[in-house]
Amino acid sequence: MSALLQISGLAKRFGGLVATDNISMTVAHGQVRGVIGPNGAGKTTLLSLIGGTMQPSEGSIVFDGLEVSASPTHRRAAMGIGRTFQNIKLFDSMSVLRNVMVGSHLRGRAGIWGAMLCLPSAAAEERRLRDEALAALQTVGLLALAEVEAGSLSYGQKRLLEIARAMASTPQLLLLDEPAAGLNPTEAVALTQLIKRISESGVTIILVEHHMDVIMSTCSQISVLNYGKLLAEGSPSEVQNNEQVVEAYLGRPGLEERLAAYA
Amino acid sequence: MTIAEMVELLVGGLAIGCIYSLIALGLSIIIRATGVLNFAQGEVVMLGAMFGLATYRLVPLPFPALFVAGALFAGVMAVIIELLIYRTLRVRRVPMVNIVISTIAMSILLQNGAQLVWGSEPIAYPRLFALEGLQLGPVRVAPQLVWIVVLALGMMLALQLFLRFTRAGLSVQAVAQDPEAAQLMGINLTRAVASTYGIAGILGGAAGVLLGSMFYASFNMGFLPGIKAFVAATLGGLGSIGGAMLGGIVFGLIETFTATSISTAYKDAVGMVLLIVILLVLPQGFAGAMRRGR
Amino acid sequence: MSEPVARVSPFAIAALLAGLLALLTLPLFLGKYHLHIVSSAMIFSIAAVALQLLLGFTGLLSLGQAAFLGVGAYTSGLLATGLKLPFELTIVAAGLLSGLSSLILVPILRLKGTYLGVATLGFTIIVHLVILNEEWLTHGSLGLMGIPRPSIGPWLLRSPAAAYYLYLSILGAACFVAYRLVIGRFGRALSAIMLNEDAAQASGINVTLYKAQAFVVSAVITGIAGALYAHHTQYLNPNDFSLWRSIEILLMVSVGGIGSIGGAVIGAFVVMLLPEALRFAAEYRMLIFALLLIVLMGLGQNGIAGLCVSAARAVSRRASFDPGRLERRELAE
Ligand SMILES: Nc1ncnc2c1ncn2[C@@H]1O[C@H](COP(=O)(O)OP(=O)(O)O)[C@@H](O)[C@H]1O
Ligand SMILES: [Mg+2]
Repeated sequence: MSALLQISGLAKRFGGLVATDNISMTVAHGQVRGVIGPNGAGKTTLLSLIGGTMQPSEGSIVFDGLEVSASPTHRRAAMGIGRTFQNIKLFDSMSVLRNVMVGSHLRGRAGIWGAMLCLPSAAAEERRLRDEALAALQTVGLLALAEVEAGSLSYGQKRLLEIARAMASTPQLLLLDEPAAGLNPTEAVALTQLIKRISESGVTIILVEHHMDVIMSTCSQISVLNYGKLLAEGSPSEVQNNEQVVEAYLGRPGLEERLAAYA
Repeated sequence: MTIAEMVELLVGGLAIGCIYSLIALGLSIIIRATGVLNFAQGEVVMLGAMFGLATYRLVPLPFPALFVAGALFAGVMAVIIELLIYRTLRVRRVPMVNIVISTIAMSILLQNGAQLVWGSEPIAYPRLFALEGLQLGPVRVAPQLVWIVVLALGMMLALQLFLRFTRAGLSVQAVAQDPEAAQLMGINLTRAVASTYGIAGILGGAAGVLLGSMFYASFNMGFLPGIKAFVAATLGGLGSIGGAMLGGIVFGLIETFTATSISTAYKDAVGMVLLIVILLVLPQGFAGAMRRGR
Repeated sequence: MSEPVARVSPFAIAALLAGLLALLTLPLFLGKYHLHIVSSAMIFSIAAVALQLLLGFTGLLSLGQAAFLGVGAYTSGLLATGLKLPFELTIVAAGLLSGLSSLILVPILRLKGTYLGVATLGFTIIVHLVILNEEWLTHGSLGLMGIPRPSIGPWLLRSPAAAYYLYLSILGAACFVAYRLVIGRFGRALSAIMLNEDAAQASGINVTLYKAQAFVVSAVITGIAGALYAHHTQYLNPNDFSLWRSIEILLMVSVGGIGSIGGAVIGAFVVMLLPEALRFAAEYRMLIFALLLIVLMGLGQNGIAGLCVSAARAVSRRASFDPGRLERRELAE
């Protein structure tokens, strides 16, 4: 397995605050990489740096052999980086189906001329995108809701829809930011299954999550962030037994219960 | 340009800039409290000028008294409009765009109403100031400009004191921060929003008397200054009080200096070009830049 | 600002057909003066449709539409009076030049919401002042006179009805282009940008490019509307293209309903014709107009189109009980 993503010395500063500090990480093809850490550790920032919504202050991001840290988000998406957002970002007033079809934007080519001139190729492409989107909805189990407004979905359904939308662009690398947040246990189990299936289809995944069950049953490697720094890295069992990691969680009041809940 | 001319221009620019600041402040506090861009703010300015004039015709009071009268009348009008129209719309939970469009309608209504009442011709303000300039060393400044700057800065100071130290001012601030939380704290939302419009009206009306005394009063005198103040408020950062003051003064100075040194015909155009350039560099105005810098 | 729905309801089709029939037969019923006014409304409908494309389908607030209208009008007017170029050529030139001028503004499209509104407002003021002050070119405040009536090939459209049908077909074309642009992949990208720029970008949409394309298309259509205006009124005055004109076009779109192409046309007709219809009220007509506007906004709907949609919904809900819909709604909850 070769590296799909190679990050080195990545730093992001907001004024005086260092959100991620000199992070280096290599993610192999087909891996599911977990990223954990207390709130404010810099996990979302890390995903945003990889996805391109934020520009790094320092460091490099090499994706699929190319340096991408200066490329805009949409170009990175075109290269095969898909993502979901911690604070769900759906197109609320669009139908569920249309949300996914926005996700498959990159799978089409029809532009302004195709639209204005009613080219038959554009119409055929539109039908293909629609079918693909319906198939994607089937995989996440939202097919029955295809025509419903996305804004009216339940929280768990919204999370699934975000994944379906991200998957619709057939990414090589999928960035998931706390997909299990706010899900009930049944939904969390279903999500775990979904992540496994996506991984089996050959997609590399970086999974930010607090829900330890989900992390432990899907990830082959876990990176632990704390105060923007990479604290530890290794297999699930290595990380669980790492003293520093336990301390990072226990050292902060109020987090004990959460760790207990994970166990 | 001699130093004396420079200073004269500076005071002139400062005077018109202060007027823009007053109007922009009104726009800004309304945006902060309700999110509404008030297109009728310029017409409130016109009302202030008209009421100031009407007061003078009734009782020829000195300028500061007219200033207060015009401001208060405009404030009362603004509150009435808010309670009668905008509040009704808000209570009906209409989308924000609808309220903004209704402020455009209000602007049409007030302009045409004023035309019916006061006619189409511009009305000259009475001569309220000594004509000869105040001699300050080598510099000669028109007393009128000094009055305008002093009164406008006084208003801005009063606004700050009001917002910081009075109960009503604090509730206006609280509503601007978070309407729901403010209501939970027992603040009367209706009253707070009405006071916001009232303050904006007072600021606008004050600007109207100042503007009228500089030029004249007419039914459509508020439109252009309203738009310029809107630009100034944007330059400062929409919803920012400091930004609105700064934006207004900067805009007034730019306008005055381009009028004399570049071209009278294009003085507004130069201001707009600078506006676009500044927004390209600071997409959220001065206030946005200050937030980022912090 | 809801997204366009691909499936068209029978009500919409019926309304569309009725509207079309009315527009096609209108010249039979109207006198010269009224036809002139209705023709103006038709021309402004084109401009309103162009703004709708930006405001209702891309989420861009532009107060620069008067400037594009002015660039188009003066381009066509000057080419026709100065160089005696034929109408077919000058109208194309108007669209092109207006589109070109909009390219200057592409960098500001990254501004959000009201900030974009203010920057484009600035553009309108600049263009207005240029038209007013560059007398050697535009004749300044005297205005540009003697613009010929529109003509197609050898036919000078002398009769107002002929010109009316020309404007109607161009309005039809503008609506068609706008409709094509808001459905399909292109339109989806535009609404994605409107609804959530971050998510649109993460989906691979080049936000700057799409905004720019929508903006330029809107400017081209507005420029063409400006050219029609020039040849329709045969006289141009700089104040026809002041900031107030931009606000008026914004009014048209909001009165008609943001996010609806037909709404933009209806809105333009209402804003143009209502003050005419209120002529009996003499100097009170604008007061009444403003009050009606406030009442419409107070109804809380998305303009007239929004009113029609909820009325149609209410009727169809009463007319048919569709268990499938209930089921779908339950699933959604
Ligand atoms: N846009 C931003 N501006 C300023 N500070 C930010 C911004 N985004 C994140 N931060 C700060 O960076 C730190 C890391 O945040 P984040 O990456 O969201 O953490 P996590 O996702 O691990 O909870 C936090 O202290 C947060 O306040
Ligand atoms: Mg996070």
